[in-house]
Amino acid sequence: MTLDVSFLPQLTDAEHSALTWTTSTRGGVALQAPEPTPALVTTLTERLRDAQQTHLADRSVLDIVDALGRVQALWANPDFSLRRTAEDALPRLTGYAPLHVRRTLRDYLTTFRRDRLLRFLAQDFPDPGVLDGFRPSPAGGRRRARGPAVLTQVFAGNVPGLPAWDLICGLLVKSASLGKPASGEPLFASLFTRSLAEIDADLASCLAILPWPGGDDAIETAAFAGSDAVVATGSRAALADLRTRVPARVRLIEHGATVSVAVLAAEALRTDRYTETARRLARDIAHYDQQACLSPHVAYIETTASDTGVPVDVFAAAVATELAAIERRNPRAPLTLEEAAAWTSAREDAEFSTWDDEAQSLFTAGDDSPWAVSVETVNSPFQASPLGRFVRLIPVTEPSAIGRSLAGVTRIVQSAGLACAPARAEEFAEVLSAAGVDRVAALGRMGAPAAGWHHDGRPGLGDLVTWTDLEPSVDAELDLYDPDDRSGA
Amino acid sequence: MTTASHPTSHDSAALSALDADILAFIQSEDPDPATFDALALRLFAHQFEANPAYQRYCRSRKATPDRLRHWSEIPAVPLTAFKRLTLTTVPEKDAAAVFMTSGSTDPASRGRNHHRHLALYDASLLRSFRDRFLPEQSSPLGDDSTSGAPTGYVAPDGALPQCDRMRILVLNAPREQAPHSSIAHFFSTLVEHRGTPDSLHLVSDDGLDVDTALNAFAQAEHSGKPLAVLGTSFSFVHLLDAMADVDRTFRLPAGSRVLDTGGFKGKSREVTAEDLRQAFRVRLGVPEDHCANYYGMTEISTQYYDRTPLGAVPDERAKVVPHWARLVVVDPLTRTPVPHGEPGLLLHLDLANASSCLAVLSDDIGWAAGSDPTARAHTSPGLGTADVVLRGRAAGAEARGCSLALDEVLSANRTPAVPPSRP
Amino acid sequence: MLGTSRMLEGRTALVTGSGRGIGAAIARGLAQHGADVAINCLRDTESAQQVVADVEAASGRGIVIAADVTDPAAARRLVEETREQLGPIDIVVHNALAGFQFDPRGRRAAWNLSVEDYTAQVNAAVGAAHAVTQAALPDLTGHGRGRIVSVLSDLIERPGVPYPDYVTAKSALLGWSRAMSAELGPLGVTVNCVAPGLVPSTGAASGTDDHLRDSLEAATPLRRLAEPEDVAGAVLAFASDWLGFVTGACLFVDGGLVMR
Repeated sequence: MTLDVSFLPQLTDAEHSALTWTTSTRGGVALQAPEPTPALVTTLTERLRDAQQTHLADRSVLDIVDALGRVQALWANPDFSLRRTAEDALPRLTGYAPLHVRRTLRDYLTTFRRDRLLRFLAQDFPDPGVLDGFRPSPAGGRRRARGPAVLTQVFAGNVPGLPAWDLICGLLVKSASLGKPASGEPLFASLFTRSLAEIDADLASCLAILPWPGGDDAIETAAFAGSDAVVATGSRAALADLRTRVPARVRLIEHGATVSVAVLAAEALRTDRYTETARRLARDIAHYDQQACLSPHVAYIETTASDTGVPVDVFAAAVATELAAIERRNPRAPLTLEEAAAWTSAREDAEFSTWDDEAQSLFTAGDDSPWAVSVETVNSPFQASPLGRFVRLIPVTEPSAIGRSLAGVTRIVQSAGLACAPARAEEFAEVLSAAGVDRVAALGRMGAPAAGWHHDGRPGLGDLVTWTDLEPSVDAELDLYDPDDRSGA
Repeated sequence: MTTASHPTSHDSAALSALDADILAFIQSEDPDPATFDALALRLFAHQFEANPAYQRYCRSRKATPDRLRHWSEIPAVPLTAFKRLTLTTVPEKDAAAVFMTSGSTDPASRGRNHHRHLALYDASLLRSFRDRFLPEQSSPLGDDSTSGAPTGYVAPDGALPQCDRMRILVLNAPREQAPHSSIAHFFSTLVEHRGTPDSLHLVSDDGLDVDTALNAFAQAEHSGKPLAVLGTSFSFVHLLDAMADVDRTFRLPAGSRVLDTGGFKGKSREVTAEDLRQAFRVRLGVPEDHCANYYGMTEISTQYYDRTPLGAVPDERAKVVPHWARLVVVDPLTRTPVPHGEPGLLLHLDLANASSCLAVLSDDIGWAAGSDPTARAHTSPGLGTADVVLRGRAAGAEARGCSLALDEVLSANRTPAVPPSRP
Repeated sequence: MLGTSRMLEGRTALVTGSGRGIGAAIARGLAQHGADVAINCLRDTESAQQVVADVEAASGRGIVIAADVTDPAAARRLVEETREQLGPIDIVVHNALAGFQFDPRGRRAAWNLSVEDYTAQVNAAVGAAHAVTQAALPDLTGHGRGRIVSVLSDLIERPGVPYPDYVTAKSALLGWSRAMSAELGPLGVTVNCVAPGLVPSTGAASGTDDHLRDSLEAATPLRRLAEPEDVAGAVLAFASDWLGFVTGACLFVDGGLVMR
């Protein structure tokens, strides 16, 4: 069966059948998509603008939430045909283990349940009615928020499912979206839009999915020209390139790649707790093999003089053993040649570091080990992981050392997984917050952000909209012009 | 400037029996692959004993000389080892040369390759130059080996008949100005052994001397004596750009040839090998089959030339593996050979690299080309002898997900002005 | 009889008390399947050198290290020297026995044992296992190939002839092994025991008489007494990947005399 990774309900049947289609195979999955052209992209952005006017602009936000909630209900059924397609094809497309994809997808799909969407809305809009019309403002007067009419969304990466959230965000602020799926995971965006079409064809007509080669100047010029804003995920280099090509009148909202860390307080290494801590850390490391930005590159380990905790090396061995166990049920996705070379190089660098430093050690299963746990010192500048289940454990004697270690990456650090006594959570969170961390989760839950998370430390929906304020003076001063003249009373 | 003669005649008596055997093998006109197999194991045993850091690396992989049955089992050290470790069989003070990498990726840490003497290095470079670059002038280079001194390999200057020499222009600084550069040594040695006295180095502290180059080209056009122009690829780009600026082209005499090496490393704009050869043809009048590129690294002691100027010119040129080296294409994780023709990392076994490690894992990606000499078996004598197509370096993999890759973080660390993820 | 393979190639084993007897058979067996083996005995003897020769002939690397493993400092040196010469240790076999003679007639019985006799035996069994294991832990953990095997005796289950001090010590070693299997499992190390029946060819068993041997044979379903290779085979299984998912077990190697 050939899977169509595009979704173009804006085209008529005749237009659809006039497209030139190309087929490719990835991981044994046959995929097809129309040949992208600047003319096609221009047509799509124009029709998306119309669809937005017709089906989205005047629709109440709670009505949209209801529709999306019904879409989520479809996905919540394990027998839903598109979910089965996703569970079958995504592991083959991405190389991630089927069990891992099935479980993470299941957890991920629950995040757009109706109640969570409402919470997500409330995070940025205490009164979501501002998306429908003018509502009283706490500062006096009234205000209203509007999203861009048409968004171009450039998705990146091979982490399954991520584009769904971006499309949902667009719909919640009543934006139509033209989405470019990533070559690493080209499928889920089209599956999601198809499921929306089953529930609400009008809403679905506000979404178009079309793959094109990233950086194709003619196509992207057409896409940007037809859009009010561009939302882009990608590497720092890809975003820098994009910045030069998005016209000044079009807003560019970037989600650059980031790094995450874990922080383990001394109490997490207590003799009666360390194995569970290791298990949770390993789970976060194995989450999409650290390819998703939510996984830790580095785990800071608070060491104290007390002897209630296990030595760092014992903890490292426990993490390695957990990673070995995970490898048995969820093997690491195959690395590209470049990744494998970088991974090996980092592993051997770590090995050489242990030679002249008793404080450093390396736990692997030999030269072709599918994981590595490297115990390092805090003295060197922040070093990221080559990904692919490679973690650096760095003992620190005080929380402030974590902040110093993160100094070089303040603007690119994202999540922190925390394992500490509840009473100390804020102490660590303060240090992390000052170091630029925008999300602190419990260790073991790093891969599942809560609804309403400020992605990249910013309001996810709030960043999409612009506000119109109807100032208090309008209410106070304009009585003058009220035909029912009360001014002289 | 004219290069001063360099005292390259090595004290042949100082060569160990092993070095002498390797030297004889490099110079052999009829090399037996079995000799490579035996020498590789002997050299490994020597390096294991005399190179403590390497011994440690091997021991942790449980590879010891008494256990190895074939050179394919010799642990290859990664390039990072040349930076992180003192990887040598000879104390630094006793080394005739210590070549260093240019440190283009991390100035703080440069790879260093020690050479007790340069007898093997020079024999390797002269032999490949003869075999691959000057093939039609192939009166045996073994002028001295045929003169009855089996361990002395380099004839004193002047012993070569003049017909084996050419005027050589080098787009690189002479050895004296870059004592730790293997490329500088390479070019200077060629000038000394293969160049006529009017050969020139055209790069100094003042940069590339374009005028002298153009004069030399004009002279050659006039005299009809062929030229050999050697240099780094980026220097050629600078020269060609300068020639384009003043709109100068030459038709160098028949028999003239060009040899370039190395990448661009940000020192010039990037040019493909095909475009470079095209420019050599257009600007210098040197046909493509007289233009060659060689692949080498500071960490080894052998160069791999394009399979040219022999015969037809394929679009994508493969590098030839000389008989004292093996180039195995391996999976980076398992270090085992990938199927013939599939891409992998290039693993070098180089008998001329006697003072550090003969087995070196590069971060260059390539694949074996042509017919498969091993025909299935991994340990057959043909392993690593096939031509290899070079694709480039594996460094700097970009993450496929939204997590930052190692190198991106490195550059973020270095550049304080990282743009915020949102404007 | 144990065959050859490359199953344990690249792994390093340390076998305490392997200069002769059961330990020597274990060392040979490990080498025949590819491991490098450190042979430990109290004194470097001709017999130990022969074991090294056999190990080398099996294309493994063998070394002899004389050390009294009941001395913690000596145990540490033993581990360090093994690591130095053969690389990180993957497999530790606790086989050393404090000078003990199986002698049904001349044995020390309840009425003439002193507490010091117990202490000596427990120290030789548990003390040595502890000291060697602790020193080797950094090598054993974190890669999934770490294996600890202790050689006990089926007397712990069926004390046909009561040797209270010896049986107490070997039972203690079983308890130690089980605790260790729980302690080290999360670090990727398996810890198991092999409990042989009487192995008449060993020096320690030279005091057993024909009557005892005959009656044990008659009571044994497989109709004979144990040989060193029987024990070595069981140790090999625990040392290999075949029983890589078994830990905390005790395997009786006595022809079915003890069934559990």
